[in-house]
Amino acid sequence: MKANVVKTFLNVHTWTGLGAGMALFIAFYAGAMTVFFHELEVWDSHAATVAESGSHADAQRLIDRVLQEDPAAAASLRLYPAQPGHPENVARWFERTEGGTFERHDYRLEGDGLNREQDNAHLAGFIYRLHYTAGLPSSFGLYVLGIVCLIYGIALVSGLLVFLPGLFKDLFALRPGKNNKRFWLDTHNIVGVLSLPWHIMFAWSSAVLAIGVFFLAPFQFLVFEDDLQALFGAELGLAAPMEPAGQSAPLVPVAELLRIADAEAPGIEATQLRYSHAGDANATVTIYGDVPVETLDTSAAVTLSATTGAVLNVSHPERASAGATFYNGLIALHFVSFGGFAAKWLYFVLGLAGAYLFYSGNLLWVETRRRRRQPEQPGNTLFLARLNTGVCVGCMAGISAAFLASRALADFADRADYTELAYFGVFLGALGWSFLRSVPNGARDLLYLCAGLTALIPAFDAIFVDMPIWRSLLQARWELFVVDALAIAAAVAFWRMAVAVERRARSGETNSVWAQPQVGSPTTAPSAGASLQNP
Amino acid sequence: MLARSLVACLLSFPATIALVGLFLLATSGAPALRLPSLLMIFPIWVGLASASYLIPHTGKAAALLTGVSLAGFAAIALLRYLGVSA
Repeated sequence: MKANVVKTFLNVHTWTGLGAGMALFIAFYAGAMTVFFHELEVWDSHAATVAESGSHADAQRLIDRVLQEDPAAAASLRLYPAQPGHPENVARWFERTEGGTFERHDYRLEGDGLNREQDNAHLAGFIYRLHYTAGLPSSFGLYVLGIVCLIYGIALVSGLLVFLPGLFKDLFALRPGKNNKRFWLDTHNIVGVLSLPWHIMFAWSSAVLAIGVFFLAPFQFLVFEDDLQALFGAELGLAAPMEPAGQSAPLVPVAELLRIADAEAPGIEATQLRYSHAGDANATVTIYGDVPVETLDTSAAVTLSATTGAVLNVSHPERASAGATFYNGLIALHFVSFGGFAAKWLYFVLGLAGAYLFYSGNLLWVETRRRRRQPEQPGNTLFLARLNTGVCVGCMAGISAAFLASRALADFADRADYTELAYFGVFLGALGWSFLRSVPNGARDLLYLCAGLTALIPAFDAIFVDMPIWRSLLQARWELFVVDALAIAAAVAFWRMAVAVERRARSGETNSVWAQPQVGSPTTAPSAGASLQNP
Repeated sequence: MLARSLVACLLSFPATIALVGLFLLATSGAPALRLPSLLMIFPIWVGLASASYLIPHTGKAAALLTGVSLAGFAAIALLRYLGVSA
C-alpha cells in the first residue's frame, strides 16, 4: 500500500476516533454491564420480597382484572408470564401522555385485587439506556449513537488499512519500556485487531438498531409499492393487528393460547404475550419466546386470534427466510442471546476491551502531539487529556455511584430519579473537576474517587441488605457475589491506576501533559533540573 | 478533514441508497434478496465513505459520489417508468 494512502487513512482513523471515541467508551463500558441485564435486575431487586410463582390461571385472572378496571389498556396490553427468575405474572401497558412520552402501568395480582405499584428498581434499565444513548436525551441520543456507529465503522476500516502493512510484524508485539506511545499503540493494535470481527458486528447491528428506520424510509418511495411493514412484518414475526370489529368477544384463556403456541413452535418458553384490542372480536395476541433449537437465533413468535385461537402467523428460526435469519442473527449477536454464560462473559471482557480501545486511542493522540523538548504542551492536547479523563473516568465513577444510590435508596419511591441523579451528578462533577485541576492531578483524583465509590458497592450490600460478600457466597446468591467480587477487583484496579498516574507525574517524563505541574505553571511546567535531565 | 469527512459521510448515503435501490429493482423477481439487500446498506455506506478518501481532492470525491447518486436515481426512475417495482 502506498505511503500516502496509509497517511490518509491514519488521518481518517485519528479524526474518526476522536469524533466517536468518548461516546463509544460510554456505550461499551455500560454495554459490558448490560450483557448481564437480568442479573443486574436481580441484584437491584434483592431487597424486594420474592413472590410465589404465578400460574397460567393467575395470569388469566390478572388479564381479566386489568381489562375490567382499566379498559384503556385493551388497545395494547402485554402479559409477562411467570418464569424462573421472574416468579410473578405482570401485566403492562404504556399510556401516551400529552407531551408525547409514554407512562408505564404495571399490574400484579394481590389476593382478589390488583397491585398497581411500580417496581422502583431502575439501575439495569438506566445502564442499558446509557449504552444506547451515552447519557443524551433518549431519542436524540439514540440517533446520535447511530451516526457515531457510521464514524465507528469508518474508524474500523481505516484502522485496519493503517495496520495492514505491518500486520505480521506488529500483531503480537507488546513493547513496554520508556516509549509510552509505543506501548499504548501496541496494546491498542492488539485489542483492536483481535476483536475486529466483534467490532464490525457491533457497528453494523448497532446502526441497524439505532437508525435502521432511516435506512428503510427512502426505499418506500423509491422502489417498493407495498407498505414496508406489510412486506417484512410477517417475515420478521411482526404480524400487523387486525382492525377492531366493534363487537365484544371473550378472550381465549392464557393456558390455551400457550398450548396452541407450543403446537406451532414446539418447546416455546413464552416470555411475553402481546394483546391488541383485547375484548374485541378481532383481538390478536402475539406470543414471543425462545425455542430449543440449534441456531444462533432462538426467538420465535406465534400470532393468534385472541378470541378464536386461530393461527395468523408463525415466525420460527428453523423456518425463517434468509432475510429474517440474517436480521435476527445480527440482533442475536448484538444482544448475546446465545451461548449462555460463556458467551456473556466473553462479551463482558470484549466490552471492557472495547472501552479501553477508545480510551487508548485518545491517549495516543495526546502522546503523538507531545512536545518532547519543552515543558509547555499544546493547548489541544491538554484539552483532550482533560476531556478524555473527565468523560471516561467520570462515566465509570458515575456508574458506581448509580449502583450505590440504587442500593441505599431502595425504599424511596423516587429511587429511579436518585439513581440517575447520582450518575449525572458524579459524571458532570468529574468532567468539571478534570478541567479545574492539572491533568495528572485531575486524573489521579478521579481514579481515587472511582476506586472509592466502586469499593463501597460490596460495603453497601453488607449494610443495606445484610449480604456481605461471604454470605452471598455461602448462600450461592451469585448475582450479589459476582457484582461484589467484580467491584472489589475493579476498585483495586482503579486504585493502582491512580497510583501509577501519581508516580508518572512525580518521576516520569517531564515534558508531558502527565507531568506534575510546578509552582507558577498551571499546566506542566517542570523544574529547571528536570528540564536539563530531559532535554 | 472536516469538509472531507462531511462529504464522505453525507454524500455516500444517497449513493448507497441509489445502488441498493437499483439492485432491488434489478432482482425484483427474487423477493428473498430484499431483506438481505437492505441489511447490506450499512457496510456499503461505510465502504463508499471510506473509499471516497482515496480520491485526492474533496471536490472530486463530492462530484463522484453525487454522480453515482444521480446516475443511480435516474436508472431507478427509468426502471419504475418501465413498470419494474420491487
